[in-house]
Amino acid sequence: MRLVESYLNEVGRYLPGSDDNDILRELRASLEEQVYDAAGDATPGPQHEKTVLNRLGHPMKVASGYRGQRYLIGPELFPIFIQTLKTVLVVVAVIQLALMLTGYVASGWTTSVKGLASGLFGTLLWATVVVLVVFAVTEYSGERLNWYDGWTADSLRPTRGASVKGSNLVTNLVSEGVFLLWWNDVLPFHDWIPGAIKTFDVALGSVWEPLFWPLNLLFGAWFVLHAWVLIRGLWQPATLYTELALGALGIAAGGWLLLHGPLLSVSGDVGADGELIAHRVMLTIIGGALVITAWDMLVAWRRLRRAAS
Amino acid sequence: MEREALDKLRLEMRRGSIVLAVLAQLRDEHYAYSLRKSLLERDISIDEGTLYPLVRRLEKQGLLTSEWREEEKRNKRFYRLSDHGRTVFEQLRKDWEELNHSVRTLVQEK
Repeated sequence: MRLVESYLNEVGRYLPGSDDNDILRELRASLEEQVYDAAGDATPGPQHEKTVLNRLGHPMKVASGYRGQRYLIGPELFPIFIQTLKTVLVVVAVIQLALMLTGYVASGWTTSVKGLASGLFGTLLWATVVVLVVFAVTEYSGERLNWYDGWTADSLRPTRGASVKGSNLVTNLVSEGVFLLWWNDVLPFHDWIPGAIKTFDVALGSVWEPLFWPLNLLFGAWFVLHAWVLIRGLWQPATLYTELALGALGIAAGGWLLLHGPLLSVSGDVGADGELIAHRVMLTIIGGALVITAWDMLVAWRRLRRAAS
Repeated sequence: MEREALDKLRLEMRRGSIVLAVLAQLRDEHYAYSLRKSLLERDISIDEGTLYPLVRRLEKQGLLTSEWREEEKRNKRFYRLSDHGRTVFEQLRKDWEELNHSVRTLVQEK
């Protein structure tokens, strides 16, 4: 029942989060039975699935029923509010970044990284406020959004895959983006240590040098993959295999670094145990990154098995 | 516009009695789809988008118990009234009968 699965993926995108799997399991059981009922003595097919899904209506509307009472924006409007907010924030961020890059090409960096980040944050905050006000006014005007009613199952594509949780992918995108900025010296974190306590300097060891382009390519590929999945709203077998392959490369790179250290080069008045502490902190960071990567691979593997079944 | 206003009033009137109808049906065990069908047979139509979240909310409030079980080679989640749910249902039934009597008297006056 490929259409039912596509429909459940869509519903899953808008569920509140805590009992998603349980809700989808129950919905799946009910939908499958309805499809068999609709088919009668015939073999259930896409047409029977469409009949059932058209009766049920827009996936967002079904998901909204599982949301509790919200005081500013009610459960019926909340999923489309979130969807609109995400779209507006992505569009605004892209425009803002494009403007920043244009400025850079035209006259070089005239603002500090902190200033650029602050400008971007301010714009995103304003965009959030505008969307919030529009939806709050819509909610309190009692206006119904009738576009739900025009939905039909013809818009579903019979795909195998698993719905995504946007918040997880946004975390990935932010961490990958920050890494790329730091790795390419756009975000020099060591400049943030106040001069008064800066009696020593810490730099990456020479072991990192051969990995400049491999890590740029790896994190760039991760960033593009996660952005693509976020936009599609669906993990599909091809993207899951790519996630597994990139994860394996990431673990290989981390393992290579750990085996070929030293990871850091410390100079200046660092104190008795300072160098040892710095190395341990770096080991912990790399170890943590490897554990998170392995966990992401395990989740991708489980999704792949679920999609195959 | 009048039609829309009437629909809203009907919806509000029905909303209050849906919980009682669901609790009444769940004195016997049902899974979500069979519950919807049994209500439909008694001319109470509730779409799945309303009924399924409602049943889950009632379970979270401790009025229902549920278990996953296989029936006809398919896994289904069966719901029924809990002990607390039976007590609440009996109280709501009495309240509804009193209210029904009062409203019936009111609308038949004159």
